Amino acid sequence: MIFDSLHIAATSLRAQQKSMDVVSNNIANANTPGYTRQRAELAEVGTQKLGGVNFGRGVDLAGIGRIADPLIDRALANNQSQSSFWDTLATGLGSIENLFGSLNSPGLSASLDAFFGSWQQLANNPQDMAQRLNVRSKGSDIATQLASMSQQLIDLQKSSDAQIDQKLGEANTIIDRVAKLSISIRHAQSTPNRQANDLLDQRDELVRQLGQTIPIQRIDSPDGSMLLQSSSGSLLVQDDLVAHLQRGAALGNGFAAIVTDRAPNDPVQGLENGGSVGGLLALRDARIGDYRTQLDSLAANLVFAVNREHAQGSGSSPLKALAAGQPVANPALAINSPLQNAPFASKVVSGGFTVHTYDAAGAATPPGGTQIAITAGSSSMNSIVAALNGVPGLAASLDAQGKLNLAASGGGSFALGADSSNFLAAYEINTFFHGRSAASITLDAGIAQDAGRIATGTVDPFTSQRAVGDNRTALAILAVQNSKLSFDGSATNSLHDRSLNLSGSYGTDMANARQQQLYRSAEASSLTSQRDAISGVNVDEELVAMIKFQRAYEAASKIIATNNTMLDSLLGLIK
Amino acid sequence: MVMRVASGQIYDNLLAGVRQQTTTSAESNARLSSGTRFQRPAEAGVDYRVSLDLRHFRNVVDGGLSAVQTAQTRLSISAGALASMADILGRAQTLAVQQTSANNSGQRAGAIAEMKQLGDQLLALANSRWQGQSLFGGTALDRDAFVRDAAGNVAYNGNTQDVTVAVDANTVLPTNVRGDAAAFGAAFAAVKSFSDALAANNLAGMQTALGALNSAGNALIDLNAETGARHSSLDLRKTALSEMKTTLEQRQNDHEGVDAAAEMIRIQQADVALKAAYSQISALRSMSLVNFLG
Repeated sequence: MIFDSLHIAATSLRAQQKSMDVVSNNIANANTPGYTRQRAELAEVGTQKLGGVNFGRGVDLAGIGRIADPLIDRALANNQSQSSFWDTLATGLGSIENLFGSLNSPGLSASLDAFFGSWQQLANNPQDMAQRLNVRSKGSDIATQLASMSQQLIDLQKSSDAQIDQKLGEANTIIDRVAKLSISIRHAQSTPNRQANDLLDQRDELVRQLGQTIPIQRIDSPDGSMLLQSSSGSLLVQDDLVAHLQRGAALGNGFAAIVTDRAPNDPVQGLENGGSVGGLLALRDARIGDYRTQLDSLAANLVFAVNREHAQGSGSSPLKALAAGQPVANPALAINSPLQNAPFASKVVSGGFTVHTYDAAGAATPPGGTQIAITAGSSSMNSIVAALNGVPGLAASLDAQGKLNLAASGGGSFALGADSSNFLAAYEINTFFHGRSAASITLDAGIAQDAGRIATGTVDPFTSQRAVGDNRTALAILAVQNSKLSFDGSATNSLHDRSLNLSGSYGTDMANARQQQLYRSAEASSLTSQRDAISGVNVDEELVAMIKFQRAYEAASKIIATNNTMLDSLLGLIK
Repeated sequence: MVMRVASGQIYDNLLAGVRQQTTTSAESNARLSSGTRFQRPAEAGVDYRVSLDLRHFRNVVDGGLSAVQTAQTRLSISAGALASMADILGRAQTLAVQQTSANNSGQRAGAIAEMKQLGDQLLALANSRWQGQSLFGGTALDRDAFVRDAAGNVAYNGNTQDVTVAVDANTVLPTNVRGDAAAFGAAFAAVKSFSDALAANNLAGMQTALGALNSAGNALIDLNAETGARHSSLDLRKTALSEMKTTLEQRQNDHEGVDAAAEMIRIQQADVALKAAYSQISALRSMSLVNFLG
C-alpha cells in the first residue's frame, strides 16, 4: 500500500509539473496576437478495487484545452475583414483629398467660378484686351485643373490595382501556410487525446489575416481539416488542395479580373465586399471610377456648351485660316453618323451656319455672308467642303488627318456665325476648347497664341459687321454655367451643380468611410473584449494557478517524504 | 456574472483612450487655428457642398456689384457729356434770343463765330470717349459716334446695339445712351439751323431755330434726366446686391465658423481624460500580483 501512495504521489508530481508548463506557456504568450489561453485538464486515473473497496490511482493530464468561443472568433474575423475594407478605402480616399480643394485653396468649383467670372468681366468690357487675357488664363486654368484631377485619379486607380497584385501575393502566401498547417493539424490530431493547440492558434491567426485581405468563408471539421473559400464559394484551401489567386483577362473597365489558377476563366465574385482587396476594388472601380465619370461628364458638357456658343461668335482678330480640332473618320459619310469619331458628331442636327468673308480692305463680300446648309443624315464633310469652296474669298480642304481647313484668299479674312446645326462645335471649328473628357480637354492653340481670337460678340447677319463692344457671345457663354444641360447622356444638370456634386460625392464617401471605420473600430473593441474575456491571458489568474499547482506539487512531495519515513520505520523493524 | 479581464486588454483599452483623446485634441486645435468647423470636403461632406454654394453666390454677387459699378461709371460720364451738350444748347438759345433782337444786329459776326465753336463743341461732346470707347455710338466703340459731312450735317455713325453689362447670367443691363436717340439729331439740326440762319442773316429763320433750340435743349435735358434715373435705379440694385452680400457673408460665417467655446471645452475634457489615462497606465505597473509575491 505504501508503494501505491508513492505511485499516486508520483502521478501528482508529473501532473502538477505539466500544469505548471501550461501556466508558463500562457504567461509566455500573454501578449502573443491570436493566442488562445490553454488549460491543463487534469483527470483522476481509473480506480483500483482492493478487498471490495475502490481506491484512486492518482491523477493524470488528460489534455490541454483551448478556451475559445468559435462564434466570437468568427464575428471578430468578419469584423477585421470589414475593418480592413473600410481602412483601405478611407486611406485611399484620403490620399486624393487635395484634389477636391479646401475652403482656403481653390478647388474645381472655385476654378469654374473664376472661369465664368472672367467671361462676365469680358462681357462687361468686351473691348478690353486685359479681360481677354484673363479669360484665356482662366480657361487654361480650368483645362489644366480638369486634366490634372483626371490624371491623379487615373494614377490612384493604377496604384490601387498594383496594390491589389501585392495583396493577392500576400493572400497566396497565407493560403499556402494554411494548407500546410491544416495537414499538420490533421496529422497531429489523428493521435487520440492529442490537441494541436498551438497549430490551431497559428492557423486561426492566418485565417484572420487572410480575412483581412479577402472576404472568406470557413468550414471546420472535427478532425482538424478546414475548407476555406471566397465569399462567393470559390475554393481557396481544402487540406492540401490549394487554389492561388491571380489576374485573369481584362474586364470592361480595363483592369484584369481576379481569378484562381484552378478556374482561370472565372472571375472570383464578391471580392469587393470585404478585406483590403475589397477596399482597393471599391476604391478603384466604384469611388474613383465614379469620380472620373462625373469629372469627364463635367468636362464634356463644359467643352461642348462653351464651344457651341464660341464657334458662332467673333473675336477682335480677323480669321485668316482655321483648322478643325476633330477629324472626320469618313468624309463621304454623314457628319452625324455614329461611325464618325468626333465625340459630339451625334449632336449635329439639320440647320446651317453662316460664313462671312471680307476683302483685304475689310469690306464684306457679300454683306450678310453665305449660308451653308446642313442636313442631318445626308450632309457629309465632302459636301460641306464643296459648299464652303463656293463661298467667295474662302478656300476649304481636308488635311491628311481628315480635319477641315479653312483659309481666306486674296488677303481677306472670314468669320463664322449663326450655327443652328452644331456642326462647328461638333468638329471643333473656331472653338474655345478641344477634347471630349477631363483628360483630353485643352485650350484652343489659336487662342493660346492670340487672345484676340476669343469670341465676344457675333457678326451682324445682314451687314457682316463686327462691333467691338458686342458681348452677345460672352453673355451666352456666361449663361452656360448655371444652365441645366447634358450633351453626353448624363443626367441634366448645371456645370456648377456638377462640380458641387463631385465634391459632395467625395465628401459623402469619405464621411461614410470614416463613419464605418469608427463603427468597425468600436465593434472590434467590443468583440476583442469579449474574446479576451474568454481566450485572453490574465497574468494574475495564471500566477494564482501557478501557486495552486506549486502547492499541490509540494503536497505530493510531502506524501513521498512521509511514505519514505514510513518505509524507513518499516525497514527499521526488520533490522 | 463578473466579466473576466485579460491583462493585455487593460493596456489596449487605455492605449485606445489615449489615442482617442489625442485625436480629439488635435482636431479641436485644428478647428480653432483655422477658425472654421471644417476645411475639407472629407471633414463635412454636405456642409462643404453648402459652403461651395455660398461662395459661388458670393462670387455672383461680387460680379454683379462690379457690373453695376461699370454701368454707373458709363452712365455718369454719359450724363456729364449730356449736361454739357444741354449747356451748349442753352448758350445757343441765349445767342438766338440776342440775335433775333433788333438791337444786336450789329454783332452777327461774333455770333457766327461763337456758334461755329459751339457746334464743334457739341460734336466733340457727342463723340466723347471713355477709356478710348465711344460713349454714344452703341457697341461700335472704336469709332466716332457722329460724323459731319461737307455740308455741315451731322449724322449718327454708331450702331443700334446697346452696350450692356451682365449683373448675373440672367440679368443684362444697358449701360449706354445711344446716339441715335432723337435728342441728339434734334440738337445738331437746331444748331445747324440757327448757324445757317445767322450766316444768312435770316431773322425769321433765327426765330424758327430758337424754337428748335428750345425743344432740342429740353430733349437733351429729358435724356439726361432719364440717364440719371437709370443711374439711381442702379443705386437701388447696388444696395440690394450689397445687402445680399452682407447676408451671404453672415450666412457663411454662421455656417463655417467654429464654436470656440465648445472647442475649448472639448480640449479641456480631452486633456483631463488623457491625464487620467496616463495616470492609470503608470499605476498599472504596480497593480499586479507579481508585485506582491515574495
